[in-house]
Amino acid sequence: MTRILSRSETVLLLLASAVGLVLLPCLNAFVPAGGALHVSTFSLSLYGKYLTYAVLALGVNLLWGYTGLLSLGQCLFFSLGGYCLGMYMMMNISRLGQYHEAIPDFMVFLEFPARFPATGGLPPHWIPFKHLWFAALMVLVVPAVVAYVFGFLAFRSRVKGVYFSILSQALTYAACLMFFRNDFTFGGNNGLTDFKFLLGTPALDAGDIRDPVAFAARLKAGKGELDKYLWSQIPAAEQARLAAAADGRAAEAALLDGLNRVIATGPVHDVARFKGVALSDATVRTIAQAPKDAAMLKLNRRLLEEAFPDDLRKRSFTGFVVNDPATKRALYIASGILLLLTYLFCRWLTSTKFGLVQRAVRDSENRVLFSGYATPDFKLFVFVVAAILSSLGGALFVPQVGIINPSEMGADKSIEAVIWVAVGGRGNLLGPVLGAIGINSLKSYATHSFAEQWPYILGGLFIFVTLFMPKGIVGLPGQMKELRAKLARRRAGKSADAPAAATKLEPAGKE
Amino acid sequence: MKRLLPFLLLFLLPFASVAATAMESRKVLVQAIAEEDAAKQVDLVKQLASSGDPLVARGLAAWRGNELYLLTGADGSKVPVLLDAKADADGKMKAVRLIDGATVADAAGAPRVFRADELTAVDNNSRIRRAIKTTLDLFAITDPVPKLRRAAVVKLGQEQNAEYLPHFIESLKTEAVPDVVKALREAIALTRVSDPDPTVRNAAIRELGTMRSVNSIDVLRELEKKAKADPAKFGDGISAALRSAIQDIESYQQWGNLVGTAFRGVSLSAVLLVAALGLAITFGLMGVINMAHGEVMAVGAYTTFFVQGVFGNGLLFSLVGRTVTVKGMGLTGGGFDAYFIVALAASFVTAGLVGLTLERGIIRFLYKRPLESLLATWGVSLILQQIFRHTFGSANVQVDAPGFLQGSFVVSDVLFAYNRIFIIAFAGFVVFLTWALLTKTSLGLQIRAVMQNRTMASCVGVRTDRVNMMTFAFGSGLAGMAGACMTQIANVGPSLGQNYIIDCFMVVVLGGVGNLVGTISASGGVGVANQVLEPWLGAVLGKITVLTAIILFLQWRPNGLFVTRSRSLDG
Amino acid sequence: MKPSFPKIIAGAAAGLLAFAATAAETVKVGVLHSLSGTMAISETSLKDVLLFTFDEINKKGGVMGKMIEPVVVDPASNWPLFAEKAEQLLVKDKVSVVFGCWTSVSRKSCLPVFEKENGLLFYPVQYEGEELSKNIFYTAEAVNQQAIPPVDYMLSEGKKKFYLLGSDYVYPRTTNKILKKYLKSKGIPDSDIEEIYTPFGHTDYQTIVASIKKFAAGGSACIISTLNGDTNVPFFKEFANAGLTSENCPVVSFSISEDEFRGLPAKQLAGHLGCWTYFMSIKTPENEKFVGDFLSWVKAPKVTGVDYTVSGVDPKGRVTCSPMNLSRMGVYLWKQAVEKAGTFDVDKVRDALTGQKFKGPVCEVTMQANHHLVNDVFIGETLPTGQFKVIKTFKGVAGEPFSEKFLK
Repeated sequence: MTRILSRSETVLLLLASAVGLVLLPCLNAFVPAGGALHVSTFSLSLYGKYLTYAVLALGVNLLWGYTGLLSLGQCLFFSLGGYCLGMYMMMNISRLGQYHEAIPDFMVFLEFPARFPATGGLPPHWIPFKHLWFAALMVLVVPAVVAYVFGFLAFRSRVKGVYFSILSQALTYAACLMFFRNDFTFGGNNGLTDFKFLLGTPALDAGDIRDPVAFAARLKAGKGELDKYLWSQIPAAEQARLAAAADGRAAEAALLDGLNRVIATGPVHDVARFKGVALSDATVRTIAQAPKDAAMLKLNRRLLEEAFPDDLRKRSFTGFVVNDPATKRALYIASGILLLLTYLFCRWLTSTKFGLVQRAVRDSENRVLFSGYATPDFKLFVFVVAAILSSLGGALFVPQVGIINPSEMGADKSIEAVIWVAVGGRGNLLGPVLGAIGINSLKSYATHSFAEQWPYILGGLFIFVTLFMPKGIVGLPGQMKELRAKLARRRAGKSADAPAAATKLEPAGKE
Repeated sequence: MKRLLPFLLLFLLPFASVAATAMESRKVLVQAIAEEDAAKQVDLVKQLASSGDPLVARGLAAWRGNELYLLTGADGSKVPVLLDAKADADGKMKAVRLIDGATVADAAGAPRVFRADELTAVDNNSRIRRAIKTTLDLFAITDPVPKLRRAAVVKLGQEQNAEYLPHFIESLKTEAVPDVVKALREAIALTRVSDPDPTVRNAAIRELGTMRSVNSIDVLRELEKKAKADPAKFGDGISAALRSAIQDIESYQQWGNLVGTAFRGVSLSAVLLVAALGLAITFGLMGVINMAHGEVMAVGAYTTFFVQGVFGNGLLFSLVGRTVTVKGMGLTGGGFDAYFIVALAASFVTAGLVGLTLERGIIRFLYKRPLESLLATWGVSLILQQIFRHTFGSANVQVDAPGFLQGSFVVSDVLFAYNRIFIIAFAGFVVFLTWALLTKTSLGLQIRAVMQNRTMASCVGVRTDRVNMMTFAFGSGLAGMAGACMTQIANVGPSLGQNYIIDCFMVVVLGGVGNLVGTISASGGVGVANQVLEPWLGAVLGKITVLTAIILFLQWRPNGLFVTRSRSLDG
Repeated sequence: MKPSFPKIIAGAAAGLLAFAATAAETVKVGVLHSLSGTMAISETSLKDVLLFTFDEINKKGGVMGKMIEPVVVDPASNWPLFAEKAEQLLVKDKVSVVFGCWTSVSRKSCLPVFEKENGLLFYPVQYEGEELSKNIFYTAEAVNQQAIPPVDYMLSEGKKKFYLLGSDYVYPRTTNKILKKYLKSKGIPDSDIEEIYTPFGHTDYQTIVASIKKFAAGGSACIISTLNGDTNVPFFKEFANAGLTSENCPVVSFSISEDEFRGLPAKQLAGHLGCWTYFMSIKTPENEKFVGDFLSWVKAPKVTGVDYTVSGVDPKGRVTCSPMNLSRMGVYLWKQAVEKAGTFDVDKVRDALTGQKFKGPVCEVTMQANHHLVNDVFIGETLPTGQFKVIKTFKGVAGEPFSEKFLK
């Protein structure tokens, strides 16, 4: 560690982690709302969003600042990561959505069941996304494969400079148009949205009912208030399916549909209905809070489990509610940790011998090539790594923002990411982070307080930074120092023969 | 109507010389206008088909175009009038009574003048307009202008109405223009296809086949379907005749499609070329990644809007929160149409000036850091868009096409729109202009020198600063003219530029940065490819395919179509 | 003070900020429309009409004696930013209600926020339906209000071939899916229905217009267009130049209102059709007052009674249109519901909204339990002036978001 990180940087990172990862979440969790020091969940999740942007910016910087590859398509990978995780979260709502079908809502109204009759409307490539491990793996694999194929072709034929930039822009633009199409099975223009749960779902799944036939019979018999209620809530179509069920499997499918509809629609709890049912203390406490929306669905599931301990398997964990403050806090912390790890990874990578070659490629690719290094392989590796980093950022972005759609792949979004890096200062690791957080905070603030004038403010800032702060925010102290030295020299009356600022070939990012 | 009768009789007296039929048809028209029941109105209008009276024709056309007005007579009755085409200084016009063609006069006998917006227009609806159109088409069979004659014949032929047959045959006897003769023969054959006599019918079908009549293919296909379903009714021979006729027409159509696709491809290429040429200079030659290129185009488009206002009825815009009124010259017709030519020149100037300001204020500090020009010009683009919004409003503005760019002509069933042809010609013109500037002037020589080696050029005494400035201004001026052109085919609004920017960069890069021939070839390739693919794959997949093709193509030629040769290792 | 990054960054600009002394008697109301980016073309007018309506209400004493204080934000046509701004309005500004959104995706983006924070959103733009949130009131036209009536009209006019042309996104796809089902139920065979989509921002309609020309050769065809606002311009310019007119091939456009007509060559487009629940040209005393008041308001825009500076209102060539009218009626419906409930509390206002009636400029509307309006529907023909002339009126059509319910 100490060999890679300088002392001042270590202190800075520790300080930032202490404030960002410990203090802010604590202020959010433990200081009561209205307290002077309270950090609202809104602010926290806003910062969480900025942190994922910062991860994206580090990816851009790894390419541009350290390897000299200006990619104008980095948001493609950011979005791909988002889509992978989004698909997982869509699979988690399915039965609890607007239509209570086994497939996500948009598939229902776009008539996917007619297109994919074999799977009940679910496109085959969606099926494995039911599992978190698969979605998480895809967050890494999909962008890596896309980046590898694109990068392999591009670097092999020595596409360079601005050609590479425009090519990456064409790639993301084509992908954006592709995702816009409803036929592409990713929700078209609306994308994936209305997420409810993370890492689990309160919906009953195959295997959760111990003996479906017996359970159905019990409900139909309707001895208790609760049995009667549940049976009355199961739609007629499902009741008919239950009656016609030839085997346990068919009965299970029908009963699952019926019961999930109950979980999805009503507040199941009612004092009269649950008379005589022993409820756990935790459940009683939750009932007192009268939860709504997704949290209510979780309660419904728990109530059923506790009412029918012999018929339903108990699942200790039924997922986090995406909009829950605690979940938002956890996502924020996860984004912070991801940013910290990304930072450390970038620091490590750039300080190795590999990093040295990387910067050499940036400064004079031909010399590196003639020295016997296979520069295309180096570039390809960095490109894939940057794609994966961006994708990870995107995967954490989506649950915090609640939507992913093709406009996130638009060429303008990628350019914005490049601008964060430029404003913050490229070729070092602090700059992109500062740039991403700073510009987005300013945008959040200005679009609210100067709704009509903010493009002037932001546009003016970009011009100003380019003209007067070529090294970005991070270069500001250096610029100040130079300016002071210059003034001092002038005051001393010496001839102002300033030494040429030959900084270009100096390896950046070193003290 | 009853109330109107005595009033009408009063007018009839002094004009007894007017041919009785014309008088009669005018009466029918006036009656139709006053009629409340839509179905009866349509019947009355249809009765006018054989009239041939020019005033009736004028009246019908005006009715259809919402330009027939009702004047309240002295006794409170409504008199339908037409307004004279010529307006006086106040925009007021003389009115002509529909019934007798007399100018409306006041008690003293002096003509009364009216403004169009003071009067109530006679109501119409789509049914009545269709009926008017048919009637006018029958009128138009005898129109002196061959093009209108032909259009009318084609339209009426489609109706397969046996009543029209005598009209067609009559006209065919005297017709001399080949195009119209062909249309008449086609119309006659098409009408005869619905003839109950099988021999007449089959002969007509065969004739349509030999004439390669594209217009009748729907009818023939429909008939084939019916004949298959009910062979007894249609008799023998019809299916063979239909099959061969349809095949003939289809193969001819394929040829027409080919020509049509080629023209559309060339026209899209011209649009891309016009839009990208400015960028080929600022980005291709100078290396400035000019993200504000689209907004500079928009400057040209808004200039066109402004000039249109000056030539037309004036315009309003806001300047730093204050509304500025510009009084228009109120020109119409050819005088107004000239605005577009002026606008082309004006947009070159304004966009050039914007470019000049940009170069002096921002770009010139960035020649050593070309990638960072992306950042600064992105900022400029944000600011310019917001300025457009605050000056001309967030909504799109309306730019009318000058008369000479409206409409199209048809050769062998392929459509050639005038505005498209204009853009193709204009593309040729700007390419020539650029070529001439770069190769035939001393400025061009200096530009090429500076672009190749800035330091060296400076050493031999070229004022590189000035050359940079002029080059950037010229490139921006070209973008401005492109914007003026785009007003004829696309929307004029604050985000106009955003629709073109990616395509422009793509074209310049595909052609090879710094190479004008490359830009021309690349726009040609992309345009044609787009139009060839679109009918197959649809617009969306077509575009995606073209983008993928560009990506793959650049793998093969990583520096674009045409590589600018250079001794420098890094090119 | 809460430690918030935006505020720290803004510290430099803090000097510019003159914090208005908050008058005690105001109620904050959010306006969530894009003022920059691609959607600004359409949404800016809605922001204007909302501010105008607040001014109208404040002049008459506000809502329950409280002046409406607008909080205008710019989500910049950026969908995740819509969610952020919505949350900012609800959580930071604590607005009582939000009026906003144009595209479906923007509404979908902030829907979870409104449900989580239990806010209220009034959505004024025609959309594809298939959604019902307890926190959103859709004053917008649903598919059964906007798409079915003109198709019926075209059928009655003897049209037999339908060319469904749309931008490639969810609203056109869904609408066309419903229309196709509907047309089939009316006996139009598949071969006579063509369905074509173009990408967003498409500028080249040559091929499509050429294919329309072929499609319409027989004269019994019409076009049902769900192209979104901006792409209509290149389409219609191409259409007019190909010699197609409303007589040989009428176009029914669902997304062109008077406001969009400001950027279209209206003269060449006379006779095409639109279908909305309001037209500027409808002559009623209420409408004349609304139009007149609005046109004079844009010349000197202000919001009476509160310290709020209105900026960015374009005074030239303004018109009113259906989304604007629906926006305005949304404000009045909310006001009435607040007054009925006697509180700004969202749950109580929501309950009070159902069954609320409002006499709008052209007809009286009723808010149904399904959060959609019962409204009159008008089919209009476009005039060379850029206005519509009503040719058919359907009285009291009840909005229904779910197609399965009206396609039986």
